[in-house]
Amino acid sequence: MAGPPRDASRLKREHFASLYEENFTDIYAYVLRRVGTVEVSDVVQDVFATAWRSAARMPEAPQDRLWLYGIARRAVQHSQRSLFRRGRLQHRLEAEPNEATGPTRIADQLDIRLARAVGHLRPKDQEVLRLILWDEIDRSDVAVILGCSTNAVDVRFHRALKRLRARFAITQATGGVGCDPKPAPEY
Amino acid sequence: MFDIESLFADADPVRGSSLPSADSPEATYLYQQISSSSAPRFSAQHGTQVRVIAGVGLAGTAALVAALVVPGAPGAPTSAAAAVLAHLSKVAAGQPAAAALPAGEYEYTASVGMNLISRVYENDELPGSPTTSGPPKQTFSVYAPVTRQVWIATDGSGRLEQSYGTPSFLTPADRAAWVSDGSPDVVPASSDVDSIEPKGALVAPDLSNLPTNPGTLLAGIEARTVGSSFGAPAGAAGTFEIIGELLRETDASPRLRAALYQAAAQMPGVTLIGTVTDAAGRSGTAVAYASNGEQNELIFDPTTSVLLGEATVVTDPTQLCRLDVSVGTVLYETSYVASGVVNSTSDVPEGTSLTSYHVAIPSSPSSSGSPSSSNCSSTAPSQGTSTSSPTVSTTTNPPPTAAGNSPIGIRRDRPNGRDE
Repeated sequence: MAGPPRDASRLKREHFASLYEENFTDIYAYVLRRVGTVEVSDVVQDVFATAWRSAARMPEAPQDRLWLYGIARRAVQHSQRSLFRRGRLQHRLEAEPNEATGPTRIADQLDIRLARAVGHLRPKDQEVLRLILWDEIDRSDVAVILGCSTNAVDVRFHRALKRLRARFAITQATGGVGCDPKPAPEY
Repeated sequence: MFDIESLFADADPVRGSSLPSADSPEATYLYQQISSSSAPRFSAQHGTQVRVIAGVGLAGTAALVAALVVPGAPGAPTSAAAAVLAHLSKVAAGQPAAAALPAGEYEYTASVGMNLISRVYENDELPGSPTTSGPPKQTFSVYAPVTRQVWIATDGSGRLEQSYGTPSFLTPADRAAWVSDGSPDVVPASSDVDSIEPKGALVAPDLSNLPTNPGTLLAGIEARTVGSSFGAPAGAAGTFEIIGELLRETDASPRLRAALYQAAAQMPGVTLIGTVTDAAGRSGTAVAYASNGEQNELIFDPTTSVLLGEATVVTDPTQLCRLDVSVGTVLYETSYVASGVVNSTSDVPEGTSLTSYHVAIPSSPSSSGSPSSSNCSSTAPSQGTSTSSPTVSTTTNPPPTAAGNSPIGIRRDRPNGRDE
């Protein structure tokens, strides 16, 4: 039962407990947005278990919350890597529409067209949109999570919106369902 | 005119959902599990070390247990698999040691593969469900070819490039189901990736300081002090998974590989599949571990002992809830086709050419299995046994093989193959 000094240990435990308490719902939502309902519990567990194991590197507030988002981002990426590696997670394409909010047929069509337009954006630009508009994280904090400058976040955000606007207009105009099930990536 | 910003914000998939709070039963249970299962590492672990080998006492105990499980004892590993792994271990042990990856350089690995992607529905959306409204929804599956390159430095920085090719439907019935569902995109847009990643972003196992005694190594993996820091499945299935993780896209030394093969040889339940053809059409020797209705195969080059590729095959569809496929269906396969140390994330080892590989669509299993026995999709249409050409055009180019009509899945004749 040898270990680190008890005071440090106790403080870290308390710190972790409050971090968990304050961020559980937000992290859960963050993960749910990205991996869907089937995998969400496993990935959320990964996030907090990893944070617990690496509690020695847990920064003080308010940076601790961003540190947690960084871990969540890697856990989501890992789950997406696993999708390739093991084919375990591929049983699901995307989160099914939430039953409680059951979108109408029209809203459904709108979502599909939007999703298709978003699919043409660069992956990092998509993530900037999600972090700002869905997770409602400040741009300076988004910069910390993504490891880039706030300026770069602004650039990505505005570029993404501009392209989305253009793409979406095109999609709306043609409105057709293509034969190719996969959108061509834009690089 | 529309406001694209609010349109995107409104598309938030969790909008309007009730999310669990920190004092919900789910959150409380998870917290208890995390805070009681393993002690956090409060000692300073700053620096670039991504993973820490800990729990020496525990590993020692487990090693003692592992040492008691010797070949010949009840529950001992299948001898044929153990013999093949012992041979691979000997080959690896005879190879010259390579220098560890220098700081600032990257371990590069390229792979080609095939992923089965399925559209599945919640139970109450399935045909026959009393709550289903509108026309019944059917599941459908496509094979999506994937090309992947990864550059990983010792500090976890690097680059990940991954792109999906044109998908092919598993059967004509899958195509029909896709059309009736409005022909949605089947490959998630987020799957195509090309990004430079900062320090620590690429999750890779830390191979420095791993024990090279097979028993100690196996014990460490079983205790989860070696290998993935992200949740591997519990039990032997996870242990086999971590052995794979230490080999794939890493610079595992011949000595470490020798130890890993022997560790796998000591695992009860590891079976020999025999000679197979990997996703890139190369011949190799496969060993596997089956669990949860799937069989995970590691395919080795018998001459060089390196990991050629991997595959996951369905052994029991009833355990794959809501996924309506037959026994023997390939869920995933990949081939590691090039690797080496490079100076930058824009370099590849000399002679690397990804265009020279063609991944064939795995053939449908010849036996129809028991898709209708799945308790989750009892009234879903059967997959049929058709091996007819996929309806969506594909860039793949199946090479003819000695096996005749089956382009790649010659081993799939006996997906449950176990050496007795």
